Order: sequence, then C-alpha cells, then structure tokens
Amino acid sequence: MQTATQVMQKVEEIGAMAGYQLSRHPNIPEMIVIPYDMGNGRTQTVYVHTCGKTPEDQDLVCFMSPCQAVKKGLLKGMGKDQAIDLLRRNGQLVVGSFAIDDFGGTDILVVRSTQIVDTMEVEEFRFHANFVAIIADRYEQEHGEDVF
Amino acid sequence: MTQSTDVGRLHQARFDGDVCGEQALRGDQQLRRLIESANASASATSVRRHFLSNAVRIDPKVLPALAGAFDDVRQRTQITGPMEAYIHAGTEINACVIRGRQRMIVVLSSGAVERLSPHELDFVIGHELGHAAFGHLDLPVGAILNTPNAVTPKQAMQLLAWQRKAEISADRAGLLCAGSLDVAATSLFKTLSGLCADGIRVDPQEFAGQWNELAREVQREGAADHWLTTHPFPPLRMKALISFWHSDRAADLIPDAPGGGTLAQADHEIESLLAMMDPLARENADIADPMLRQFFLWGGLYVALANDELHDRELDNLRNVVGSAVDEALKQGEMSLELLRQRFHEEKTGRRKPLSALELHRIFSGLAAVASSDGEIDPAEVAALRDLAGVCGVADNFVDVVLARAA
Repeated sequence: MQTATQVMQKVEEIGAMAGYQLSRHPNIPEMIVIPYDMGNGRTQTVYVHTCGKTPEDQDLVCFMSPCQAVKKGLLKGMGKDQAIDLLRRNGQLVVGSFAIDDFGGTDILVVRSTQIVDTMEVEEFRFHANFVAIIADRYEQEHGEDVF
Repeated sequence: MTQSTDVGRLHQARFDGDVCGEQALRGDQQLRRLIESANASASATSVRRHFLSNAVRIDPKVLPALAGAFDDVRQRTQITGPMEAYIHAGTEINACVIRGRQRMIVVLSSGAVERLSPHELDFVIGHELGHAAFGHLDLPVGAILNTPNAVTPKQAMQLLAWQRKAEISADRAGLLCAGSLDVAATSLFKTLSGLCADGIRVDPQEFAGQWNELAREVQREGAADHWLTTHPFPPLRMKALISFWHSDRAADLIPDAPGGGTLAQADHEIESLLAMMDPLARENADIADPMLRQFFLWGGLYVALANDELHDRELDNLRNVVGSAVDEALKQGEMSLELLRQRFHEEKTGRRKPLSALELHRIFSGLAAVASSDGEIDPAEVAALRDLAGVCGVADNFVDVVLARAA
C-alpha cells in the first residue's frame, strides 16, 4: 500500500516529465501547486491532491482549479439558477465536473478531474491540468473576475 | 543411463521461484479456498476411466520396453504412490500428468514414444514425474482459471506466473533423469518443432541464443499478453536449463554437469528472464525491469563515461542491473559517447509503443543511480542525463527531480 507521500512523489515526477514547474502548498505538503499564465494578464492555479481509491484499491488524484468563492448566509450563497447552470455545464464537459470544495471552512466552486495514479501518463497529466485550468479561468472570465 | 536420483535429491533441484511462488499463492486466503475446492472436484472425477477407454496402458506384458523405461525413471524420482502410464494416439510429441482419484496418471502421445530416443523420453517422463514429485498437481491452476469470475486479473497473473516457474522445476527434473544437457536440448527441440529426423543434434547454446532475439522483439513490442501462457518461452527454458547445468547444485546431482556458479545465481538469472513474461514481476524491486535493460546498458554507459572515466562503483552498479552485458559491450572496444547515445536512441525509436511514465521513471531513476554510485554527480553526467531525457521527450526538470531523489 502506498502512502500519500509516495503517491504524490509519483505525480510530481510525471508532472516534471511533462515540463511543469511544480511546488508544494505551504500549508498542505501533500498538495502540488501549478501556477498558470493564461495570457492577457490572467492567471489560474491548479492544485493536485490525493482523493481516495478506486474499488480495486488504486490511488486517485484530483486535479482541481478554483473559480469562485461561494458566499454563505441568508440571501447569499449559490442560487438555484446557478446550480442548475453548473449541472448543465457538467453535462457538456468531456471529463471532470464543477463541484464545491471546502477550503479551510470556505466553500469554493472548483473544476475538478480525477485520474488513477498508476496508469497516468505524461499526456494525461497535461490534459487534466490544462483542462481544469482553462475551464475554471473561462468561468471566472464570464463573471468578470480573475481571483484565482 | 542409470542414475541414482532420490526424491530428496530431486527436491534440491527445485527452482526457488517455484517454491516461493507456491507459498505466496497459498498465503492468499481466497486462492487457498479455490485450491481446496478444485482439488475436491478433481477427486470426484474419474479420469482413469477416460484413459482406460481411449488409450493404451503401458503394461509390461504389452509394452515391456516402455514399461521398463517408465519404471526406471519412476525409481529415480522415487515416486512411490500408485501411478499408471498410458499412450494415446497423437502424432504430436506430447505428455502430461494428471491426478486421478486414487493414483497419478501419466499420459504420453504415440508421437512421443515413436519419435523420441529412449534418453529423450527419459527427459519427457522425468519432466512429468517432476510435476508430481514437486506437488504441482496439488495446485490446479487450469481448474481455478476455468471457474468463471473466481479470480481477479492480478490473481490470474500470479497463478500463471507460478505455473511457468513450475515448468522450470519440471525441466530440471527431466534433466536429472536424462543426465545430459544435449539430450534435454534435443528433446525440447523435437517436442516444440515436431522435427524428428535421424541425426538431429541440437546445440543447447544455439537454441538458447534464440532467446536474445526473442527478448529484443519482446522489448520492442512492449508489454503484451505473454503472461497468459502456461509455459515459458522455449528458448528461455533452454537458457534456464543451461544456467542450472552450470550451477554447483547440478554438479552435485548430475555426474556430467560442470558446475561453477551457485544455485542462487542461476535462480536469480532465471527470475529476471521470467520477469519479461510477467507484468507483476516487473514490480519486483530486486530485479531490474527486463523490458528496459538495453536503456540501462547504453544510457548507463553514456552517463558513466560522460566525465571520461568509468568508476569501479559505476561499473558494479551497471553489472547489478544488466549483468554481463556491460562487460560484453566494453569488450567490443572503445565506445564513443556518440555511439552510446546512438544505441540509446535506437532503443527508443525501435520500440513499437511509447515509453510509459512508469518506464521513464525507472529508466532515469536507474541512470541517476549509476551517476551517483561513485559518490558524486559530475556536471558532465548531469548534462548527459538531460541529453537522454531530451531523446525520450522528457523535460529537463524531471532529471532534477530524480537526481534529488538519488542524492
């Protein structure tokens, strides 16, 4: 059985093979951080972290890029229309999905995509990382933002 | 040829990979239940009736010479339980041993009896009795695999990998009974090729040499479905017999065996050869991935010689990984860095499937280990590693990652 450290070392190596400059999150050592320059002054960040196992006990990693903070409280937060819109978008994505992740108590709307570590090739690393970065940045752009 | 081969001595010849593989399978609770269930089903089935009705039993009154030969080999393997031998009609050279309800049943094809010499038949019968002596029939791989949805793909690989190792042990039993590597080679050759003209003499080294070409093809092809076969590649079987023949254990057991190496060395070499047929064995950290051996050889020499000197520890590291191939390469004369790089490049372009991320990791981890084996990593060695990374289409920063791990 592999530890999270071993799993992330493998992922880091594949990312390095792909030519990415990777770093580790300052507060979460088992999370890889990939900064993206999207052009036109826009940036995006992709995070890679372990996210459980398949039924066959294979390690999974999640490529995730945040695109919006979900405000909390009465009359704030995510409305029904936005939620339905995101569900429709999920139906159009070739892989991955929009989801809400908890970041230290704050709900963040993210784009995420998962991959089995042991079968991940260099091209698959590139695909997942680029895909979530592009989709997340596009969502931000639609809402006139570039926070993440 | 008469030899004294008692079952204790026979067990001294058993391939360690066979023993360890069986232990590992029996250590799996689910497989253990399947083995028990398959054995229970087998004991309820009458195979003897099938052969009594469809084949000729080898009886001293009906086939005295053959019965005598069979008894002779049986005495040598010291198998004392009830056993019968049959001949069935079949032009191909074939033999098997089956567990009946109350006895072992050995079956030879008429092709085997007619086309093999008495000594060659000793090898074939000895091989089959070896399976019985080593208890291989107590682990009925075929029955387990034929049970629908009984095992996972990984368990199926483990079962078939063990079965191939069991064949290595059985070949050694055949060699002990035949007493001659040349006889074993000719017997294997005739069985596999079907050619049985008078005067056929097979050189064991030539036969085993076919392995080198086969190995290159397997490496170029990449991972395939070789793990599905029940027997090792024939040239591999011959190479395994030669390795054993040159071990001190064989010299103890067979008068004409020259010995020279240890049994552990022979078994280790055979494990690394068999690894080419077993995807799971490629995960074994004790054996360098056989599919990548040529990358380690040419890339390793390229990196080690990048700073114009081949350190003893670098050479030892390479020998551990690729064996005597590095010495054979160095004997070819002075190798320029350009030639070594070219050989590495040819290996890459000769592959029919792209190198996977795992294979790239293994190659460059191995090459980084060569570079660091002399205690320091020279800037020239780093440059050589980056150059080879470029050949493989891998970014430079990956080299930094593997070097950091090797340090």
